[in-house]
Amino acid sequence: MKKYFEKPMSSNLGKDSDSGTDTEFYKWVTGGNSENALGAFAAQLIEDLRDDTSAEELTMLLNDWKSYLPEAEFISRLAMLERLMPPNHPYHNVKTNFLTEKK
Amino acid sequence: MPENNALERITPAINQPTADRKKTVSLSNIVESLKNGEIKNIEAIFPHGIKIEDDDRNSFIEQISKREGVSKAFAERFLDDESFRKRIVNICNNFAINGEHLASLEEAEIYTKVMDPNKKDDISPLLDSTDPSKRFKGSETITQHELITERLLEMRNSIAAIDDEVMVEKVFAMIQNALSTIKLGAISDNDTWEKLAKSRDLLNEFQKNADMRLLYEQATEGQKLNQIGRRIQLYRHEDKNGNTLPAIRVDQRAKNKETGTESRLGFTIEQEGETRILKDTIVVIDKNTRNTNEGMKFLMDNLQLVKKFNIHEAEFVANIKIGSYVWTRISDMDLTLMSENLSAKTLAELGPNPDPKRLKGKIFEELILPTYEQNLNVAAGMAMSEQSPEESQELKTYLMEDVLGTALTELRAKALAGEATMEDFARLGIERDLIHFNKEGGLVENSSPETATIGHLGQAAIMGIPWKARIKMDRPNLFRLIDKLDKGKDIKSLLVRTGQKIGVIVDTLSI
Repeated sequence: MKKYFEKPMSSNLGKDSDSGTDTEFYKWVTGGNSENALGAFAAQLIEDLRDDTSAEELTMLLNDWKSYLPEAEFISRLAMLERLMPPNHPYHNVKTNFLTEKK
Repeated sequence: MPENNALERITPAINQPTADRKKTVSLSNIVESLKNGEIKNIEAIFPHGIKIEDDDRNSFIEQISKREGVSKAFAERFLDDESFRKRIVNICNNFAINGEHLASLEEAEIYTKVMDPNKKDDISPLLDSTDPSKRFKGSETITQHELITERLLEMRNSIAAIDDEVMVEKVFAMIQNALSTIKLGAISDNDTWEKLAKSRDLLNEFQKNADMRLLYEQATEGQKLNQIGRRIQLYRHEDKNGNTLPAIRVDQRAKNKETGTESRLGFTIEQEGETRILKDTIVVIDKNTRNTNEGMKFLMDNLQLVKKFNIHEAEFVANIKIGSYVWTRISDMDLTLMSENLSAKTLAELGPNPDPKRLKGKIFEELILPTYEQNLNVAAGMAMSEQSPEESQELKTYLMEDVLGTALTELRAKALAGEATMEDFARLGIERDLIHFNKEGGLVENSSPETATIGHLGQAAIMGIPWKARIKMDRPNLFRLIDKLDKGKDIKSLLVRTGQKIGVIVDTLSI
């Protein structure tokens, strides 16, 4: 059977129906301050690391950070997570193993 | 049903007293009750599992897969695997609790495929997250009748996207014929569709029309006409290579109580091999419904959704105004998705499995560069208007020689070689902000009181050019995304600067 429809390439992510623009929407989503939004986003991601993150996932994350971050930033992140993760969180073992293996 | 139908002749249990053993039940009745959510525990009906004589077994599998559209593997598992059967019962019940009913067991199969392996069998997070009336104050969900009308009109309107005139006429005639058969009026009359949506009988007849079923599936990339009134759609989507992918789509609308303006939220989760992709996201939030302080919460709630449903990748189309520029910073185009829009001639020229660079070069040449260069000229013209002669000469040299000359020539060569990124396009002329935009992102004259932002040439030129991308949603990539947008890459300082608090450690980050 002949296919009748080709999907038009379109998106409706925050587009205003009158003006066709998304500018106002992005302003709304970021509360008018994109840096704050980015900070909140980062905090949420770190917050998420605190619950049910597997050792495997954490190792992947550390490997990725190691691959592109400047050394100082990498070290600073490890220290930050050390303080932010609960005492019995798998992060602490992962970090120790990670540093031992890399040496 | 014929007498020898296996669906009608299932013995509930084997280790029962002889008198009971002879009793047979109609499994087809059970399946109907199951889909309606009336069966809470199938093991109560079949305390020792569903036992079927060998002869009937194959017949049952054959019939159930034909009638309910399920795979034979699903039918066998349903017979043999108690925990799977429990799960199916659970899914049917959950749909019913949430006011939706499965039209066929095929939908349960699709649901288990997309939601494996994380087994999130409660659909309420999907429904709640796309219900504008739940997420925003002051809006109310539109009725099922309104929803059906909208979807029927969408099907009709999507005919405009068919670029073959003969085909358009044929499709129009097919729909008109289906409408006339059920004694409804003209296809162009919105009232026709209102009437159709309002009457359950007419809609039933319409849904039985094989042409309409096919058209609706094609217009919606696989959704079923018999699910038209539902907030959640379960279907199989056939991709360009003929692979069938199970998909779940949720889509809801709400109206602002005071203004009547509509908001709409929707997304699809599609399973491609082991990968769950979030796509076809629709976010239309009526201006009056957007309370100032709700935007960030909306963003963060959506992030939780990605985690909840274990989404691996998100697909997006950027063809919107200023926003496109941000998209270029977090992702480049996806070649597979973009190649779908190449002309047949170019695709034939490229042949199967083309070299990625060659493919990318062709995509830039055919889908990006023409509009981009046209936009550049318009924007440069706007920038040069209303300048004093001295300013004008200096600006002209910069625009014509530096940007539209040297830089553009380099960019074009890089693009045709398949080595440029969308960000390269957006960055052209980044050293100088001279294009004035109004708050809608449109170009305005330099002196215009409507000026809301000033940007550079590439930013203006990339606007309105649609391009598709995919972003990985795993944790490492989400952090990379933040690092890309936060140029300093110092995440601790970002957290401190923006006053973030994490867990029990409140302000100690800054120590």
